[in-house]
Amino acid sequence: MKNFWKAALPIIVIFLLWQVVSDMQIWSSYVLPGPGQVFRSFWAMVKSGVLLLHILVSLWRVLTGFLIAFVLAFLLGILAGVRPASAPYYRHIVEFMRNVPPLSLIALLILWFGIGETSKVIIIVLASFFPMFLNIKKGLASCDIKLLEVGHSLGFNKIQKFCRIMLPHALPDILVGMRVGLGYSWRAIIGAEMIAASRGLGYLILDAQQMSRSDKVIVGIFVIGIVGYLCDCLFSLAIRKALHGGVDNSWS
Amino acid sequence: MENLCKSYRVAEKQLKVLDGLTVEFPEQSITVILGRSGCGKTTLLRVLGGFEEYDSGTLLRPPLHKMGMVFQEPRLMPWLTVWKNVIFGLPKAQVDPDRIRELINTVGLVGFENAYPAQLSGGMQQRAALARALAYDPELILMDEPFAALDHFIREAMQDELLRIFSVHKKSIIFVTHSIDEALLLGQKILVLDQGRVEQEFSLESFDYPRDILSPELIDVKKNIIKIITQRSIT
Repeated sequence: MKNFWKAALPIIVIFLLWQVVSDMQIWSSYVLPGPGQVFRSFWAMVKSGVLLLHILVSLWRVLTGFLIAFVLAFLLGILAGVRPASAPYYRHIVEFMRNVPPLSLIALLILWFGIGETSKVIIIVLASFFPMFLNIKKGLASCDIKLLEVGHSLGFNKIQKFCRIMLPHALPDILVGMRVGLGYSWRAIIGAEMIAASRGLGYLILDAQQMSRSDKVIVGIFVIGIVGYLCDCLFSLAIRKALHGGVDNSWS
Repeated sequence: MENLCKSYRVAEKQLKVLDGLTVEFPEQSITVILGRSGCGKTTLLRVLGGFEEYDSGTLLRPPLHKMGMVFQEPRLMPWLTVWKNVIFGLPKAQVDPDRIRELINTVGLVGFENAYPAQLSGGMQQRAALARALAYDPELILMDEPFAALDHFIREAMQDELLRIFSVHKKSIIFVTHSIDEALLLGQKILVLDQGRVEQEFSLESFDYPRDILSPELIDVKKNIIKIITQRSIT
C-alpha cells in the first residue's frame, strides 16, 4: 500500500498542476486542454468504440510483426549462438541494419509495398528483430560449458544438449530480448502509423492534430503509454513466472 | 590406459599433465586416484570421461559402458528443482518416483525436492548432484573430489552411502581425492599420482568395509603414501 501511494503521489501532483495551469487559462484550451476535457474526449471515444478499434489495430500489427521478428531472430540467433564461427558472414550486415532506424525506410517500404499492412509489419520486424537476435545469440553463446559437460556425462546427444541445457540456460536472455523487442516494435508502429495508415493509435494522433483536437492528441499519447506499459508489465510477469515460478534469485 | 600423454599449452609453454600413464582400472571396484593439487588427477578423470582428448597413448573402455560423473562443483541446472535435477539424465519413461525418493532420502534432501539450487547450501547442492549421478544408474561412476565441499559429518555419511551403494550394486567407481584418509576409507586400489605419472599403487582389497583408518595396517599404508608424496615434493 505504501508503494502504491509512492507511485500515485507524483501522478496526482502532475494532474493537479495540469488542472491548475489550465484553469489559469494562460494558454488557450487548444494549446493545453484541461484534464476534464481530455477525459471527456477519452470517454466519448471509449463509448463509440473508436478507441478500442485503434488500439486493437495497432496491437494486431505489433503482434504480427513481433511474432515474425521472433521466429527470424530465433532461427538466426540459434545459428549465431551455436556456430559463433559464422559471425563474419553476417556481423557487418547486422550492425549496419541495426543502426538504420526502421522509420527511415518507410518511404522505400511504401514505394515497394504500398501503404497496406505489409509496410507497417516490416517496420515492426525491423524494429524488434535486433534486440531479440542479439539477446538470443548472447544467451546461447554464453552457455556454461560446465553444464554442457553434465549433459555429456549423462549421455546426451547434441540435440538433447541444445534443448535441455542451452535453450533453458538462454531463456532469461531470450525473454529480455523479447521484452525489449516488444517495446521497440510498439514505438515503431506508432511512428509508422503516423506516416502511412488509416487506422491505429499513430493515425489517431495524426488525425486529431489535423482536426486541431489537442484533447484527442493527448488521449492518444496516454493510451499509447498505458497500453505499452501494460504490455511490458504482462511480459515481465510472464518472465517471472517462466523463470522458476518466480523464485527470487534462483538464476545463477 | 597405456602410455597416455596429455599436455596443455600455458603461456607459450607446453605443460605435460599426463606423462606416459599406464593404468588398469578393475571393474566393479573402487579405484582412488590420490595426489596433490596439480598432479593431473582431474585431467586423468576428464580424459577417462571423454571430456578431453589425449595427445597419445591408448585408452580402452569396456563396450556399452554407461558412465556417470560427479564433478568438483555441483553443476546443477539452476532452472530446475532438486527433483528435476535428480531425474535430469533419465528418459521420462524410466523415472521411478519411489527410487528417486529413496535416492533423495539417501542424500538427506527430503523436504527440499521442490527447492531450486540457489536456495540450497553448497553441500546440499553437491548431494543433489550425487543423487543425479546415481539416478542415472551408470556402470562406471567417475567422481572428482565430490565430497570436498561437505562438512565432516555429511562427508562421512556420504562416504558410508557410497560404500553401501557399491556393496549393493557393485558399480565401478573411480574416485579422485587429495585426502589420504578418504582414499584409505574407500579405495580397493589406490593410485598415487605425481607429475602425471603413477608413483605407486596400493592394493587394499584385503581390507573389508567399513574400515578403521586407525588400524595399524592402514596407518602403515598412510605413512607410506605420505612418504611418497613428501619425497616427491622435496625432489
